[in-house]
Amino acid sequence: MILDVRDLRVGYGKITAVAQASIEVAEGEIVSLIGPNGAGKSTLLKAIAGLLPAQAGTISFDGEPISNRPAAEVMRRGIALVLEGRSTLKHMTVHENLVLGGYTRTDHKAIAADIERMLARFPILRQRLKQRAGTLSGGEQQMLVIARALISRPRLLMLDEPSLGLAPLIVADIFKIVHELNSEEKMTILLVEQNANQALRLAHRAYVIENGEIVLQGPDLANDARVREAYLGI
Amino acid sequence: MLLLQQIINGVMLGSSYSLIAIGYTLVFGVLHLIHLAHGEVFMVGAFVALQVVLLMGGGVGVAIPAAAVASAVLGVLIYLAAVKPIMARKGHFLAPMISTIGVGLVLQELATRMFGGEQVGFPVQMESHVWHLGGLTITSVQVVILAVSLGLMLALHLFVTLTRVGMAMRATAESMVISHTLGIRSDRIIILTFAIASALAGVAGVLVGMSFNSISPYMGVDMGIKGLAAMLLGGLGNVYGAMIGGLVIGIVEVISVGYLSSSYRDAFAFFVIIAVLLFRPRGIFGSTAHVEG
Repeated sequence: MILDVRDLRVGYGKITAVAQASIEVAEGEIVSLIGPNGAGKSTLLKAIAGLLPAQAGTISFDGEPISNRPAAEVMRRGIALVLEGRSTLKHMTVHENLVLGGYTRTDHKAIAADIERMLARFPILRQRLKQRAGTLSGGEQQMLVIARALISRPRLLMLDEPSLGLAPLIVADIFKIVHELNSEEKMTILLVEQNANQALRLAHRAYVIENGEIVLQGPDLANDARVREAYLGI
Repeated sequence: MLLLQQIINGVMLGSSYSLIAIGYTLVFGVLHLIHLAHGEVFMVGAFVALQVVLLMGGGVGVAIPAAAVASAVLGVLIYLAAVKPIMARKGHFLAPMISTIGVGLVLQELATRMFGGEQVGFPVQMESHVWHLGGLTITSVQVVILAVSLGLMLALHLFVTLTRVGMAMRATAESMVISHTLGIRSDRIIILTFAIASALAGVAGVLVGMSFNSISPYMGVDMGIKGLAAMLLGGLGNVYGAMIGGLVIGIVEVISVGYLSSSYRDAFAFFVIIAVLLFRPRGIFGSTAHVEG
């Protein structure tokens, strides 16, 4: 298991947002985490990334404990988190955003080559290269943050609601990109989504989180009666 | 011609305000803190430069690096001793600012103890040339002041736009959370920011000492307020705004001395600031986007 979270508890003040959550991600997998609004999905990702403190439990990455390490150090070990809601640096240009994607790397030539690859993959970003990221559309910004995360060459990519607030066509694009990253480049992905239908179709395995607890898990949740009723509306 | 001369003189004066204002704005950018001991960092820079020149001799070429290094070290120490521990306790958001007021007073008292409360001369040896161009008079001291301050502003601009560390500094100012997800160690960036901001203030201390030919332990109070006003005028957290804001205040001040009376110079400068802020509450370059951290 590249990521192993055991009995994790995370809270804000006296409120417990995640209680006793255990999840695992193996190398090369797409794992989806679905659940209603406020169930603790984002909180769980942020705790893994080191942005929120773990009150109990353990998080290990590649066999090494990473809980309660500073976020910048967790990231340097190879976990890239794409925050929810177009987390571009809006005052900075598209190019500067991409350059900062490689901030922790020192192989300057290879970074330039990776930026070039991203521009080939997302041609719209090439047209916008000198523009401030804040002037891009929502879908373009989402592509920019995914490209930026990939330039760090992560071993685990965590995406927090990448489809949130985007038009259906763009959402389809984003999910296609996620699928290709995994199938063509063997990227390991932990995906948090409210769009359960797409998230389950894409994933090798999935977890359902409700009120901060993992209530269901498995490779074929799309055919689970409870999931179909509560999340897929079938 | 008189007006043009005054604009030139105003730019000379204002460029020092700009250097101080840039420091305030850099620190505000990364920490959302108004660093109220920044004027005293400026003052200490001037005194250290004076002592170094008295001890070792040398001119501007010695005074400026000495002031820059001493102020940078002082600025970082202020952050580590009086800002960081208080921010870490997550108390009231004003607490770190109050702490910097305390640091400023301590530095004033220490400087008074060591150097006396009187104004002292600032004998940075420099051959003084005076050039007459038409009706304009320009001195070599003015040229040095302008070249140093504009040179530093250009260097800062290149640093924050062309280097990865400079970009990381802007990223930290825009969003610490996003910066962390990019692997940027914000604690180091904050220390670097204090060092750069304080070094600029120290250099401004030398430039102001040269142009007025005297320094005092209380010089940081006035200059601190002017620098703060220049930052507000330009727009909180905006480096280019701070540059322009400082120049505007310098020019307004000199012109008001020329056409009104020297006793109103500060009042008139602030009158203009209030007028600008009434029309553009976020300052000349201010944006609403900077409210959220």
